[in-house]
Amino acid sequence: MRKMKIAMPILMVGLAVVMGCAKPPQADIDAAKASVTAARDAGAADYASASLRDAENSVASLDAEVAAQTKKFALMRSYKQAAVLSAQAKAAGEKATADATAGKEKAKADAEALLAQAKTAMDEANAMLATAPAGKGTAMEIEAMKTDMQTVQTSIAEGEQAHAAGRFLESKAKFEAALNQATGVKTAIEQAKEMKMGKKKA
Amino acid sequence: MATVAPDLHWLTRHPLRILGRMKRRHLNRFQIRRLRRASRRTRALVLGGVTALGIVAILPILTGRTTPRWFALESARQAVVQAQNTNADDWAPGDLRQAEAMFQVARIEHRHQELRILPLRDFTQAELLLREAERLASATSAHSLRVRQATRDSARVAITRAADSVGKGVAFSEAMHLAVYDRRLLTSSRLALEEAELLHRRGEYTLATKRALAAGSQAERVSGRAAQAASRYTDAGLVQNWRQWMKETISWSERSGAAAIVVQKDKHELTVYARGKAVKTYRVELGFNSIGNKWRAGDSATPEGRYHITAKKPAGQSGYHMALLLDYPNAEDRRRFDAARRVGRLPRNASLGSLIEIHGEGGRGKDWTKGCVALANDDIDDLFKRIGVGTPVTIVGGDGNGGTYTKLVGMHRAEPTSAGLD
Repeated sequence: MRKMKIAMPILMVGLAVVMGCAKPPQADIDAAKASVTAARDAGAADYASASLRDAENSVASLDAEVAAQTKKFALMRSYKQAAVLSAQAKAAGEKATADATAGKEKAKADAEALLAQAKTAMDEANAMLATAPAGKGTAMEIEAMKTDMQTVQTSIAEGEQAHAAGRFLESKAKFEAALNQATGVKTAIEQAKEMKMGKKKA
Repeated sequence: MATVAPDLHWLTRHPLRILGRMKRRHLNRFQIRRLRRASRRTRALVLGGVTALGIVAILPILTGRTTPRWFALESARQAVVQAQNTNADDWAPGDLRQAEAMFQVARIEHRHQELRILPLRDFTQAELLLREAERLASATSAHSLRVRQATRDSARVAITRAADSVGKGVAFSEAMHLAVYDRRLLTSSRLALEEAELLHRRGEYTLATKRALAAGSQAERVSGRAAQAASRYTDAGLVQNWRQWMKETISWSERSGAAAIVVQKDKHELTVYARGKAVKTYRVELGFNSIGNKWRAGDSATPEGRYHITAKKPAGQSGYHMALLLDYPNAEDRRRFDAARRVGRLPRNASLGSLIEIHGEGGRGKDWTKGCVALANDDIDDLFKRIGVGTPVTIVGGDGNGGTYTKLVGMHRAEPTSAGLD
C-alpha cells in the first residue's frame, strides 16, 4: 500500500511530463508544406492543377488537426494524427510536383514538335517562294507572300521567347498558328503553280 | 464503564465502510445506530450526486449535441472541392478563399469537439460553421461558373470582332496593294487571331481575349490606313470631277455617234458607249497599286485621265493576247508630274512612264498589272472588234456609287472598332 502511495504520484508526474511534452511534428509539417510549395514552383497550377488542389487540401487538413490539438488542454494533446496527415500531405505535394513536371515536359515536347513542323513548313514555303517564277502579276504576290513569311518567322521567334520563358501554352499556340500560316502559303503557291500548268496545257 | 471516544476522522475518507469498522471497534448500539443513519445519509447523497451527474452527462447525448456532424462535414468538403473544380481559383479567387477559410474554421471546430470527452462535446457551432462553409462554397461554384461563362463569352465576342476586323483588313488587302508594313501587320493580326482561337479552344479565355484584342487592333490599323487611302473615292470634289469627265465622254459619243470607253477603277468596269448609250460593260483588272492616281513610272498605278487609243496590237503583237495602246502620258499627266517633281513630291530622277494599254490575259480576279487595264481574252477579243484607233478612253476613279473602294470606306466608317470591348 505504501509503495502504491509513492508510485502513484511519480507515475502521474511522469505521465504529465510525457503528455505535456507532446509537440506538433514541426519538421514533418514543414516538409509537407515545402513539398506543396515545390509543386507550385514546378508549375503545378498550370500543368497539374488537380494534383496541386489535392495537396493543398491535405495541407489544410493537417493545419486543421494541428489547430484542433492546440486548442486542447496541454496535457491531453496528441499529434499522432498530425504526423500521419503530414506524411499524406508531403506525398500529395510530391505527386503534384511529379505530375507538374510530367505535364510541363509534355507541353514542352508538344510545343517543340510544333516548332519543328512550323520551321519545316516555313523553310519549304521560303524555298518554294525563292524558285517561284516572278513575272508581271506574280511578282507582287510573291513579294506579299515573302512578307507574310517574314511575319511568320517573327511570330516563331516570339514563340521561341515564350518557350524559353517556360510559357509553353502560349508558345504552342504561336507555333501552331505559324505552322498553319506557312502551310497556307505553301498551298497557295502550289495552287498557283497548278493553275499555271493547267493554263499552259490548255 | 468508561466510554472510549471513537476516532472518527477516518469516516470522512471511507464513509461507506463505517459499519464494518464500527463492529471491529466495539461501539455501543447508540453509536452504531447514529453511524448507520450517517451512513444512509451519505449513501443517499452519493447516489443523488451520481444520478445528477449521470443526468448531466446523458442529457447532452440525448439532445444530440455530442454527435459528430459527419454528414455536414463531408457535404461542406464536397462543396469546397466542387468549387475548386470549377477553377474558382481563376474565376472567383476571393470567394474561394473565403469559402476555404470558413471550411477550415468549421473543420477545426469539429475536430476540436471530436477530441473532447463525450459529455463535454458540442457540435452545434461546428455544424453552423459547416453549413455556412457549404453555402459559401456553393455560391463560389455558381459565381465561378458565371464568371467563366462570361469570360468565355467575352473572349468569343473579342474573337468575333477581331475576325471581323481581320476580314475587313483582308478585304482591303485584296482590293488594294498594301505597303509592306501594313501587309506585315495584317499577317500578324491573322496569326494573333488564330492563336486566340486555339487558346479559346483550350479554355485559356483570358489569353485568348488578349490575343484577339491584339489581332483586332492591328487589323483596324491596317484598315484605317487603307480606308484613308481609299477615301479619295468618296471625295466630293474628285467624284464631281470624274462624273464631269464621264458626262463629257458620253456626250461626245452621243454627239459624234462614235464609240467611247469609260473605265471606272472603283467598280473595275470598262464600259463601251455608242451614240451615248452603254452597249457593253467588261470586268477589268488594273495596276496592283491603283488605289491612287499614277504619278510616275513603276508605281504600278492605273492613270486617271482622258486618253485616246493610238494603236491596236492584234494577237501576236502583244505579250498579253491583244492590246489597245493609250496616249499616256497626256498633257495633263505631264503638267502634274512636273509640278510634283518641282515641289519634291517625286525624286528628280523619276520618269513619267508610258505604254499604258488595255490588254488581255485578265480574268485573274485581282489587280495585277503595272498600270494597264486587263480584260479576259474573250472580252478583249470582243472589245477589239468594237473599237478603233482614236477612240476616246476616259479613266476615272469612280462615280461615287457602289464601287469596291467606296464600299470598303463606307464599311470602315460604319462599323465600330474592335480595339476595345465593352
